[in-house]
Amino acid sequence: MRMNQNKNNRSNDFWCGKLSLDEEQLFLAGEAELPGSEPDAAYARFVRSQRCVSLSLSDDELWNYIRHKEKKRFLFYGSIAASFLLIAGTLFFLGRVQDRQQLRDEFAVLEQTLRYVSEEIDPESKTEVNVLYEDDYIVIVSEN
Amino acid sequence: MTEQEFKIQVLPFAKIVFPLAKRMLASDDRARDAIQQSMLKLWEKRKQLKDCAHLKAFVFRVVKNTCLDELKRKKTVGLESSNLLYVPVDSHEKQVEVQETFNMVLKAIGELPQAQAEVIQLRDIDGLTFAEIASIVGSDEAYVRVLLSRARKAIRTKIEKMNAYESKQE
Repeated sequence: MRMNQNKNNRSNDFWCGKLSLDEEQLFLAGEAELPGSEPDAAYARFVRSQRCVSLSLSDDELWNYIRHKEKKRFLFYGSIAASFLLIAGTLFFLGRVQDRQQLRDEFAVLEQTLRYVSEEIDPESKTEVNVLYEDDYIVIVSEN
Repeated sequence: MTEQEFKIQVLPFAKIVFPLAKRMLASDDRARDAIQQSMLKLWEKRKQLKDCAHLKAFVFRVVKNTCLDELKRKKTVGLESSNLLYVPVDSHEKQVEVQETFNMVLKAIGELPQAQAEVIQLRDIDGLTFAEIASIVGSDEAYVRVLLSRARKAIRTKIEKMNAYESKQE
């Protein structure tokens, strides 16, 4: 009689949320094995069935997954950085080549102009020729 | 947190938190993937873990968020049904009566407000303390106690009503 009374009190405390976590676990385990009232037994069986699931991965497998993903991520970001460096290097190199080509062209024009000027001036006239360079302009001054 | 500390302190939670992932995603494979992703996220946040007051609750929160992201991404299950409970296929309790009571409780939990359903699952199935639950749901312990008490009373009443109805039918 007293046991039943105790069980009822325990049950009431459980449903009202007055038990500690350990007491609740004990209560549910007891109800699943030796059921008392229908709501207690039904709920205890339900909870037990919900806990009967297990992860099929070991800690080592989880850790290997983490390492594998980290390595993959490292490779991914590494390849992005390498690609960026490659592109930047190529652009820099192409820029240098372009600059050299431009200088060569300008020099050729200058040479051609100077040749033209020297051809036009009679070497015996003793004309003084001054060539002034100003940015993209070539100024040729001759004095008789 | 070092590699060794992570292996000892965090990885064992994977098994404890698996039922939560399975409840939310209703699939063994998806739950396993969510656990793997969550553990990777936790490893990336390992510097924060040292100062974490409730490590277990933090792990639960990360797994819960990963599952919610997965649900949003796949759009196979609506967010409102994130508290969906699964029915074990290979359960040893196969008797019709047990299945009926199982369905009864499942229905009763399904009819609870989302906050109550979440609290009752975290407490009774996952075995978390009030402080841990409060940390996961972003509330205070007193409110969690109230939610749990209301949820349990509602479930008890529903089971009793369903039982009474079935007895009348017989």
